[in-house]
Amino acid sequence: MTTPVLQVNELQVSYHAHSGVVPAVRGVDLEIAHGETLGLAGESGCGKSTLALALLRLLPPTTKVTGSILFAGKDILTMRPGEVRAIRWAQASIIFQGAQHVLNPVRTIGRQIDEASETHGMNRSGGVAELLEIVGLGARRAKDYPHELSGGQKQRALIAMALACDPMLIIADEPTTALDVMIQAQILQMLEEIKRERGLSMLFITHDLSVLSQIADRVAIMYAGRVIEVGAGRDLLREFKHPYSIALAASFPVIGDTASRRNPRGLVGDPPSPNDLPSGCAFHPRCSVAIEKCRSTDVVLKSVSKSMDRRVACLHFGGQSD
Amino acid sequence: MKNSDRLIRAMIWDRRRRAFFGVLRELRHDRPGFIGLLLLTFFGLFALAAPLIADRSALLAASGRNNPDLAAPSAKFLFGTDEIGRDVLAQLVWGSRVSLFIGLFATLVAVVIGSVVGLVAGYAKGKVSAVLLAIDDFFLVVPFLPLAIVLAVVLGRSPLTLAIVIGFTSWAGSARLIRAQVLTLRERAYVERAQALGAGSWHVIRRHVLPGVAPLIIANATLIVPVAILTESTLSFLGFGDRLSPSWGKLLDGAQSSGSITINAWWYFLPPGLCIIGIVLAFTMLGRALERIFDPRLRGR
Repeated sequence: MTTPVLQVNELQVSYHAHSGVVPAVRGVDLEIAHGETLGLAGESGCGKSTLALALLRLLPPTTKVTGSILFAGKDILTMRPGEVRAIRWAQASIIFQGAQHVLNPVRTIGRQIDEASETHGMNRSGGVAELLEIVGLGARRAKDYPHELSGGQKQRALIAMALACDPMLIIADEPTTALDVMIQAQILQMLEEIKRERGLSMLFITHDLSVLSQIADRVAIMYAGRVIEVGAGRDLLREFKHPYSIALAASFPVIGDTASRRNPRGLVGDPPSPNDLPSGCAFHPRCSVAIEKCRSTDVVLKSVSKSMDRRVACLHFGGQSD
Repeated sequence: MKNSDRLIRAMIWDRRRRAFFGVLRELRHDRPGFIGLLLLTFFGLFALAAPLIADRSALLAASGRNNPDLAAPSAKFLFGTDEIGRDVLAQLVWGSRVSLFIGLFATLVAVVIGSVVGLVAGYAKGKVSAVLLAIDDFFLVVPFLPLAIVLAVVLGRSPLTLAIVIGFTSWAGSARLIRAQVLTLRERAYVERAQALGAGSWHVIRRHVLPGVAPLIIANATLIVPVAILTESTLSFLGFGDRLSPSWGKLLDGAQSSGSITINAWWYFLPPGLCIIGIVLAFTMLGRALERIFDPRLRGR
């Protein structure tokens, strides 16, 4: 088997705040194969974006990051700053959320897209014009300033920017969050096509499970800084096993089921504060099927079926309750 | 380069040109700014036309040998003569060149030092920033004129060294101003994005921070010029200027020491005084107007 594009082992990220050390990511293992899209879902504050930034060492220097992050077999956490900068964008690029703020208002779109190749000393044959054509904006848009573009167009410009250095991996951090459903569908379809044509791998971060059904080969669900369920996309999205995933899925109405639309089921309580995580399984205070043992046992991901790469971190599965 | 890229570049230049004329158009609606611009154009033409108005030889002490001393304005000497019979008008027009050169060059020096210190102090964290701020504080509080006098005496008195001395002593305020703006710019999401795509500090400062503070630097520079001109006049008036170049300040110095004020030889001290006031006002009015145009928050005040 070839080395995966990205392999993350035992990644732990903690912020050092005034109130003490705050763990944001608590031991995450991920693997993204060549040409694969991994969907990473979870509610706000579960550590998705922290994870994305940690991958390229973009967190503030006071943040503590341990474990290993291997890009094509090389650990980015032990690299010198110059090497990290060389990896950024050339091997993995990010499509940020909130295109509004990520584009500099006083520079033209074209120049900002060009920045990537400029910092890496690359000279793309097609240049900015070609990139803009790929994302369906048209070369003439290069001279426009960000305020002259709509939200969807700005997001397209960001995607063009992400492609500038021919990366192997694209980290898409909620790229469609601020867009309406129609534009969202267009952008997703375009991402899917670009990915297929260029053989890219992708880490797609979102809180919207319906988006993942469209784009992800494999899906990982995060809760309180950990991956609590992971599996092949179609398989996992058809039948969730972890009580949290089930609750997350239930918060979206099901097409054709009127009852679910009238009465979307939420999840009681708030996500736990990283300052003060519950003992045992972090989900047990909100879990409807929690048993006494959930308070004390630190659950880990366990395989629940042999045929498919399906793993769940719950005492009720994988024989952990014994 | 591909054709489409060239087209895009041409369009960008076209847009810049329009932006420039846009600033001019806004200036026309800003009365003080427009008056400042007109005054400045007048002084600029005045300085450029110096050789047409008077011959440079009229500045030499020998040129006044055959003329009456301290003569009132006449057809031959529109602005009269000084205490050794030299044409005051000749000294005034040639002096405008010296005053403008020192004012502009000193501003250039101050803006370059101030921008570099402001950018680095704002962008870097920790010790670098602390050291730069301490130096900045020193230059903010140190009595400015005595320092300038000492430096002028030590370094010599050519217009160039005077300009450098004045620039070197007047950058502290703009460094503060620029640093404050940089502090807000460095936290923007597009700076994080630039870092994510592998950009180093130099790239981020050049491409994202500098364009953000550029309008501030320009408006601020326009406001440093009058201060620099005034400082030059002060130094010259106090006798620390260049003896060989006739700046407006030196003209005032000559008027004072020759007693023209006591004998009411107004043609000697009034023109350079009015010129200094005029050019200081012109730059200040233009600078304030540019500030209003570049910073929409100041509009309507």
